[in-house]
Amino acid sequence: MDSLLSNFASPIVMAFALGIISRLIKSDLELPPALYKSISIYLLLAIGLKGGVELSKTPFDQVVWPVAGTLFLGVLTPITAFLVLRYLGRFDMSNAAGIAAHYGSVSVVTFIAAISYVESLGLQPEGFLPTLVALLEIPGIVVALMIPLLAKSGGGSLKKAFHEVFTGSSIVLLLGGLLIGWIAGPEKFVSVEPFFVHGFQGALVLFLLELGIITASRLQDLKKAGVFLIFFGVMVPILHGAIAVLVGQMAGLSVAGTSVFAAMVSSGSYIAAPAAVRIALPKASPSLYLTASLGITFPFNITLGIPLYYLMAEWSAGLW
Amino acid sequence: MTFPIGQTLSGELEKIQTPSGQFGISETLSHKLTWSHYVELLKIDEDLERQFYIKQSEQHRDENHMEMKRGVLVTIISERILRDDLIELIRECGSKGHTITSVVGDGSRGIRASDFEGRNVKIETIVNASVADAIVDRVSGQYLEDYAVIIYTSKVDVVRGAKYGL
Repeated sequence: MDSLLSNFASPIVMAFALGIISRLIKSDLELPPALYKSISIYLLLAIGLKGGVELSKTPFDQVVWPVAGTLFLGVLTPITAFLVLRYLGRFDMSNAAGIAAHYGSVSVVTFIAAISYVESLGLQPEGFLPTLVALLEIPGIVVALMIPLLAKSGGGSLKKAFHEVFTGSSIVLLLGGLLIGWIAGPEKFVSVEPFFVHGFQGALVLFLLELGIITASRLQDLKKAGVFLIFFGVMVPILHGAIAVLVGQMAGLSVAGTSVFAAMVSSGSYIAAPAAVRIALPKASPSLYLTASLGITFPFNITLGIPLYYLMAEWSAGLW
Repeated sequence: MTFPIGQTLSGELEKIQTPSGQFGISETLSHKLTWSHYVELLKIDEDLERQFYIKQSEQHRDENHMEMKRGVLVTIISERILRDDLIELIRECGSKGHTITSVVGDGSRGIRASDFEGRNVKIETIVNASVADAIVDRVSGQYLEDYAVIIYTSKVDVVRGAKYGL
């Protein structure tokens, strides 16, 4: 319970709440789009750089099982999400696959919030986790977009969508940052560390403020989305989180690392996936997939989900 | 400033000019010179001087008119995600250049797939009539059903028509 309350009192979560409130009271608060974009570039590059530096210090055999686990879950989660949507929720092919692509991929901000959360508890997750974020971003989208193709009811251009996935700004920045950090190593990283490490949490607060504003504007769509989507947006992340806790521990991650791993596997993308889905599945409704990932799952994860995954990880670590 | 074809204004012009008898009453008068030319010419008292400047004005008008060509301005407003595809499309149809602006708006669809990439874009290109038709046909066929897209054309007069394939 304490771990839950401490999460609500974090500046990140409170800034997110402030963003939502500002929209609800119709404040004129608005971050300039250029600033929002600049901060996201900064955040993505910063995680990449830090992850790359950590990766250069990590022996290969420590990384190989978590990488395998990530790829396995990257393929599994879009399929479970699709099956739930298609057969329990009775969504049509395009919408089921479109939403599944979001849940197969990963929300980088949820990942960062999870790192901040476990660090606030005094724990240190594995440094190479950003590598796993980059790996998890792609397969989920690809698998989900393949489903309608196999069922022969696509419509959009899969080639263009894949181009969008592999060359999207989030992947370029994450992978680019990882590579730069890995090549530079800890010693050369020292010169840029003050900017990319010390400013990170502050920038994250600003970013969450904007995400709160965006989320609040999605809340109006909740009525249209229906009860099933709300159920889906909460239950499927918990299901994916629970599977990820098992996989994470089998792969040898620490409790802190497992919690972060579960948070990222459970999260739904809202940067890379929407663009790819819009191109590959033009019939899928953006208001459904964005409302699910940004309006339901994201707020759930950063408030209740992350502490829950931590509790699951701690509990299951006691069983082994 | 060009002189608009309007009943009231040309009427005014005739009233002013009739006493001097210089320009006469002509229905087509407004097409001969521009309004700003007339304003300048009316100020001149000396007959010979005015005749000289009338000739000059006509020459000036002819030079200007030689450069103007009739083209079609095609304007497409769409969600940001289609930007690169639409540019490729208008190029394939034969457009030789375009201007893009970021725009904000709202419509029946409302929601965009990617706020991260930016809001909406307005793409403008000046082309000849057949290219304009081709662009409108392809955009209508490929995008109007599933995406937030507005496309319209307007007739424009441009200088250096060859630049736009006119």
